[in-house]
Amino acid sequence: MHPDANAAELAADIELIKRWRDGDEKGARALVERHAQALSRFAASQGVRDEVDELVQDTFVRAFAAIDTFRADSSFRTWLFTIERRLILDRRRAFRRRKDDSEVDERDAATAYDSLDTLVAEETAQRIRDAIARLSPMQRDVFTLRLTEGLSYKEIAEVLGSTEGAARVHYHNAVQAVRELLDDDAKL
Amino acid sequence: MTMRNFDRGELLDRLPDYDRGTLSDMERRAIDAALASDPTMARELELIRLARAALAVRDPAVDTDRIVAAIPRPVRTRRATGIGRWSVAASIATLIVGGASLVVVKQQFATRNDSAVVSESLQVASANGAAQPIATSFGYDLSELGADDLAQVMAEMEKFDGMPAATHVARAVVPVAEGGK
Repeated sequence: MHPDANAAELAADIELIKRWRDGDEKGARALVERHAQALSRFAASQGVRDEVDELVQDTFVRAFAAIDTFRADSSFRTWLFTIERRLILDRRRAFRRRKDDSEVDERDAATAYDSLDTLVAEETAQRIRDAIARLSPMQRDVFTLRLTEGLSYKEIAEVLGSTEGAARVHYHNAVQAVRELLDDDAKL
Repeated sequence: MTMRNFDRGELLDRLPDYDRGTLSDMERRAIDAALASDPTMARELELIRLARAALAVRDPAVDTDRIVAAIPRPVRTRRATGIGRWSVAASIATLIVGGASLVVVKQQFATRNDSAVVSESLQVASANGAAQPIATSFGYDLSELGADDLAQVMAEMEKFDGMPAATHVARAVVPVAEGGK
């Protein structure tokens, strides 16, 4: 995103946070409306199929409870992604304690978008989704955050706990991998 | 506006932003120019568009009302009210009165004939005997103490008092105690 646009977004979020702190619930509502959909997309891209709504809600609850720790070094949305990703990882760990690890990963990667298959008529889109699902988890995260959320490499690195350079490499590798997977499918 | 030269890698990095329409005019024009002569870049842009479209249809619905209802209320600085405010006021008053009393007592010791003050105290103790202790806050009857003991007690008390008069009182007590022997 353009730096000016980023700054404007951040300023708007900070103003809404201030309104909420001053007791105006509309500030919180506006923040939810601005970011909830992006959080749900990110959750879906992470293979979360059930209770996305609950995950997004938990993310906001955590964020507002710890709002004093938001330093505005990054955008509010990036900060939310970071919180949501931690929650997703926590849930996966809890799930893995009950189920076999490899089984969970395979299922998540292969069927992340199954529930939406019936809604998607266009064959190319489905092939692309399949290709994305076959990326490594890190490539998939970077690719999704870059394309659907428009995060910069620096912001992606913050969300994923990586470096800007590594995020850039993962992104380009992901693009290359998706292209090759599509080409392979086309040859079949 | 001067046209900046971007290398190909920079332009590829910016393709998602180009597709989202978030680039500056200069960046957008640079990519427009590159796309016209670079089919590989154009193909990558097409892939990005398709991927964005494929991912966009998956937006799970979120219940904004439910989320907002779950968000905690902002933590605001709690103001002292009712009993709490009176408690604070009473505590402060107690400290002030108590402190002032100590200062007055110390000043009396310091300004009066110190020997006389202590002598009076000792005489009262002697007259009343053990049934009328001078002070009970020490946990024992002061009348049971010798002059040296009293001097030591007073010296110990002075260690807890930052008042300038304290050292004067301590010095003043010693001769009386010695004289009382």
